[in-house]
Amino acid sequence: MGRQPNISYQKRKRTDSELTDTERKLYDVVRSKEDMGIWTGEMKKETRLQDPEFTKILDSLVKLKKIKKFVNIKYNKRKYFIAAEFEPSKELSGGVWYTEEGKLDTDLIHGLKVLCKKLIVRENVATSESLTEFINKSGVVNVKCSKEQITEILRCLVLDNEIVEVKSSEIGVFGKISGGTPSYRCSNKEGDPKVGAMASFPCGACLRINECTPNGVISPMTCVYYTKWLDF
Amino acid sequence: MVGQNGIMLAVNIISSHFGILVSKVCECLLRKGSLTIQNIVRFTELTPQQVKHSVLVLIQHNCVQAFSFRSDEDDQGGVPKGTHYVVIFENILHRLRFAKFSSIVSEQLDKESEELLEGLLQHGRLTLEQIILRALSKRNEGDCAIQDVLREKISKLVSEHFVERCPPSEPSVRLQDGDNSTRKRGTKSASFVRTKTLEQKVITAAVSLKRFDFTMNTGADVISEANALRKPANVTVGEKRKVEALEMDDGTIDEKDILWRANFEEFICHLKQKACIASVRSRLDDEVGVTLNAVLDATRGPEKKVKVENSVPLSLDAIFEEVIKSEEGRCMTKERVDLALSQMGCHPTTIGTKASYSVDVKNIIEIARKEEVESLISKRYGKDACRMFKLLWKNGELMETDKALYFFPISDTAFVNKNEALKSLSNLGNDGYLQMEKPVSQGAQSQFLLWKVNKSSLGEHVFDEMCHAALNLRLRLAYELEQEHEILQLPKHKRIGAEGKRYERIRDVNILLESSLMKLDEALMLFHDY
Repeated sequence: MGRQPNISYQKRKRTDSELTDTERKLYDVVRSKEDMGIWTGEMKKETRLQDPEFTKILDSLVKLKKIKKFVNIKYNKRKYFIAAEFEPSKELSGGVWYTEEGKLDTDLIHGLKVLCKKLIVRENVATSESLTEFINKSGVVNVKCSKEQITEILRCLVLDNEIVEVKSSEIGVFGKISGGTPSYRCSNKEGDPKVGAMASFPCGACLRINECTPNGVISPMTCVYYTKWLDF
Repeated sequence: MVGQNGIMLAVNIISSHFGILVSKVCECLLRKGSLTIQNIVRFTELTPQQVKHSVLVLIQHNCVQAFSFRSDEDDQGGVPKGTHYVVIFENILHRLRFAKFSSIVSEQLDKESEELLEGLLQHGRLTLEQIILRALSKRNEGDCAIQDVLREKISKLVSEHFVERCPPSEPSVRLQDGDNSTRKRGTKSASFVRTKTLEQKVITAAVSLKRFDFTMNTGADVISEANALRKPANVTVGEKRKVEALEMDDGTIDEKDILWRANFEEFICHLKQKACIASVRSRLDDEVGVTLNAVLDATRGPEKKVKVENSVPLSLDAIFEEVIKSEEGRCMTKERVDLALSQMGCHPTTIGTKASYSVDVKNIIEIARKEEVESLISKRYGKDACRMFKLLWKNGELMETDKALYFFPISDTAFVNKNEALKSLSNLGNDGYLQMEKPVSQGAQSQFLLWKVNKSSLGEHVFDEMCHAALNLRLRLAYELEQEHEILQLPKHKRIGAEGKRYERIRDVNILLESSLMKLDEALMLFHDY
């Protein structure tokens, strides 16, 4: 029997059951780690596969969309993989405030902080619910923010002395907010805290103060920071 | 507890005021605890005469108190019999604050009272006769009328508690386990903790009931009496005590025997009130400051203690009455006073039908301390580290670095990159600003780290570091003045050209270092005395 004519060869998408034994072995290792994922060094150790075969199988699983790469914010130079059906845990990815590259999304955080502060100044007093609703409706931010995210931003503003957290008394400016609800208003004296006594001269900023002694290598008489400070 | 830097600062102060011999004795007492003269001689390797004179100088300036141990049993358990000497660390540091004490008297009373106080600050302890003679020597007049005016001024200083009688020369303290630091001495710092407790006991035992007893004896002319024959100098201690006991029998005080000194506790009370008001003024607003001043003024009773945690409960009417006594308060309404009280977190407590307000002074001091530490951390470790510190202070409990297994993670709440968070927290932990814990689960140490602010140990650590910084400022100032000694001696007409510039520089350096030291001293009091 000769070859059947006119039947063209077509690449068929492989299914889960059609993984090769080595592919299956590697996939099972990755999948067993669930949302914690695994890095390539650990994979090699557990499967006892060596390059170049390991790389070939890994690429194949990625192409098959069985596994995906992600950045572990703690070890951002290592290549981490996770089974496609899982999402990396918040602990590894950094959560909503981290970009896919594993970096803190400072632009988004700063933008939301400025926006929340402006809205509180405008409204005199606001709750996390009212701020979340306004921010999501206005479309100023191109991602949808949860109430929890906005609460985190507000907590950070409180730590920065930009706003203060108060409980609604239902009187005056709190009229529309039910009693006892955590609310936020601008602080009387906002911005950077006043410079303390210790922070206003070199010893306050010095990281080597523990090594400084009257007759030591580092001493107040020979201190370069003092010399610079007293250079009128 | 006072750390090594506190001791070094105290020794430096004594050394610059009284010289190296006295500072050696002082350092020995600071490091070893209470000692007898024989033991001081043994530890310092000075001659008995040198030690005796040095101790007398320290007693004269209220830096050392003599005492004896009182034991129920005959056997004193190895404690050397006789007089022991304990150093009063706080009184040494108060020497940095004499200018502040003088200005309080100048503000509250008058310039003449300030001069009288200066005599006591300069000489440590003086009899009434000596105080008057010193004041008269500064004037050209010295008649009886002037002397009576001076006596009246001293009487006022005593009634205002700015001046007090010196404590008994040798109070006895009940002997308890751990009191004998020469017998059971552990580490240097541990021995200091024990000594500190003993120091407090001695101070308490030395408080006399007649502390502020001043009955004026008008009409006596100290100048003519001073010229007359004086009592023989070799009066024994026992005889002197008898004289002290009998002195009030005729209703007047003995001007030649009773010693008077500045009451540092009263000045610290005043400075604490000022610090509280300055703190609320900068954190909240001026009206809150005026209201707090009124509350604290109304609170001040006959028993003036520094470590007051709450002001005396007062009605809103009583507070308002006090507020309008001041010029700033006159433009305030009752409603604004009420608002100022609520801004301080002071809400009314109703007992029966009357509502009263009591300000949490301890909380105001704690906030002021927190602001000082925050400012230091922000400058030294950056804003992110400061935010994490604030979070931990506010939370008051253990928190995890970056994981949220059992606790809330610090890095997420403070919006700090997780890697940076661990680095900053470790730096703060290593430098004594945070306490780190590694929880142990099922016998093995966990991977995650827990952090918290331990407020009491943090306070001690910051105070010790401030003592180090104060010592550095003093050493640098002394060094700068020594370097430019010749320039400072130049007469005015020769301060031209390069010399003139050097003179201006050293003058500015002096001002800057002195003002920094004064400001730092306020922070030292905030962490140690309030």
